Amino acid sequence: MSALLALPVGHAGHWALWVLYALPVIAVLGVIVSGSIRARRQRRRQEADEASQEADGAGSQ
Amino acid sequence: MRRGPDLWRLFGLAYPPLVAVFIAALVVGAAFPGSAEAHGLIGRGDLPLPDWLLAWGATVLLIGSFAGLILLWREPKLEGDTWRPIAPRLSSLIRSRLVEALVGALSIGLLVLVVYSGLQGTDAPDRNFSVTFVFVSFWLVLVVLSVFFGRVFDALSPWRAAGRAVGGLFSLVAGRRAPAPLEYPEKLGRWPAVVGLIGFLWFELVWGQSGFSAAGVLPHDLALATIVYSAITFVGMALFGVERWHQRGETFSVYFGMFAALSPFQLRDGRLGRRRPLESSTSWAVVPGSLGVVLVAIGGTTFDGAAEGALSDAISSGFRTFTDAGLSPNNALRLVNTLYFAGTLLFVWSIFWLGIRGMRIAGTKRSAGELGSKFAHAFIPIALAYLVAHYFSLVVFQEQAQFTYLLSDPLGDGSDLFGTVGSAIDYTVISATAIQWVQFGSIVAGHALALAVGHDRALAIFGTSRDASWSQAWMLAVMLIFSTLGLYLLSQANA
Repeated sequence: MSALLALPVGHAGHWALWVLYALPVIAVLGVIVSGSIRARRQRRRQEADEASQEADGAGSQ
Repeated sequence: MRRGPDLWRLFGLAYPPLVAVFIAALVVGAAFPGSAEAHGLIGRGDLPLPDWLLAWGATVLLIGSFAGLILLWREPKLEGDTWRPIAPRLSSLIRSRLVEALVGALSIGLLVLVVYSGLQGTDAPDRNFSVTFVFVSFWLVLVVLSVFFGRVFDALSPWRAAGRAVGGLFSLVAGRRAPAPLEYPEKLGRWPAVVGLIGFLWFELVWGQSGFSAAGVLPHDLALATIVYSAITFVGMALFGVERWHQRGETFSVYFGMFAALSPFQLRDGRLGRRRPLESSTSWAVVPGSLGVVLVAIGGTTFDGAAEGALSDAISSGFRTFTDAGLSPNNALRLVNTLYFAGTLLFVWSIFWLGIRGMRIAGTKRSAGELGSKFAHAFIPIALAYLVAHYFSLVVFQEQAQFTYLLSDPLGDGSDLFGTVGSAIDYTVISATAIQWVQFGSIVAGHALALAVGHDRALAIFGTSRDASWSQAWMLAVMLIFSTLGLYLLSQANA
């Protein structure tokens, strides 16, 4: 276990700096990904609603 | 036609905290720059802020630009054709046979000089005309000229000039134009140029490495590569016609032409005209393979920057593995660099497709391939930004050498043709801090321009629908990744 941790911990100076750079990008990316998924759900719900309304309309005629 | 309320709500929620965090970091970073430096977080002390904080600043600026574009840029402005002729006298001068012959002869002369100095001159890359000429004056300066003045390489290409001269001679003797034996396959598009671009970058960045101190390409190797490339180009021109191969298959014409698409100047039917800057780029990517050209261009610069800093430890480690396995040092270094070069191209390709896939998650029904080609041209400003950021100082310094001692002594054998062989590069002509500001400014400006071009395309194909705003949000994500990556690589290479 300690051998597995030795490499990443020993090189923490490198990846820690990289994380510092990437923080705002990761934050924005998180917002966009979650928003996109929510938008897709919303769109599918709307499409399903529209389809059921059309089906209801066709049934009542 | 909805504007995507979800996006705006998320944007409204996310932006103020981001700005607040940035301002807090700004205060801390400016107040205690020494503490960051002491922990190895920044490499130099000549900028007022740590590099990572500049990257955060770039993120904030780009998100602000994104908001500004959505609020203020409501109709496509770049999809039209605003070309109108200008300067008729200059047009006829450019078109004149005499000028064409003189410029053509000069370009062929320079090609011959590159080959001759490479074969007959000194083996020291920094004392031989050919290396600086090809990798700085040709490869980098022509990009700048293309951005400002359009397709200048059409006039300056030695291969096109030679091809046209041979075609002209044929017409003179045979009394008719030489027909191209083969029809250029439309599906081939710009793919031959993509292959050539990968080959050129590999030759420069992988083959040219003969040690970890970047010894550079040997002049002799460069001369041989120039001969081989010229032969391939002439075969392509003989098979498919001079103009067709020049436009589609000839690597440098396609590469410089990509940057020329950002220029306001364009020759049309032999007449010089002006149109809105960036407008030509909207029709540039319709040819197959165009996306490959722009992504390879970005990937090549990314690898060059990464190899000098971010990837240097990994490359050293791979080098040791391959030498332990029995490879010679040169072959081991070339193999490990080839692998990382391929990996970098793949990485850049992946980021682009991440953005395109993201657009599809948001709900557009367009295929990923269609979206990819629709938005490919938006990445030309990024390719330019990366080039400026990485090579600005190289051009400033090496062009002094080019126009003084290398021109006076092209073979490096002690001759002094113009009396400037005793000159030296003045490294104080621009300060390190000024170079770093140019690097930062070019990365931010290039990505902001890319956002604007992508936004304009999104308006053209999606209107003001929800798809448009989400496509732009994903474009923003890709731009943020590229800008942060660019600044990170620069900081590592400069450290």
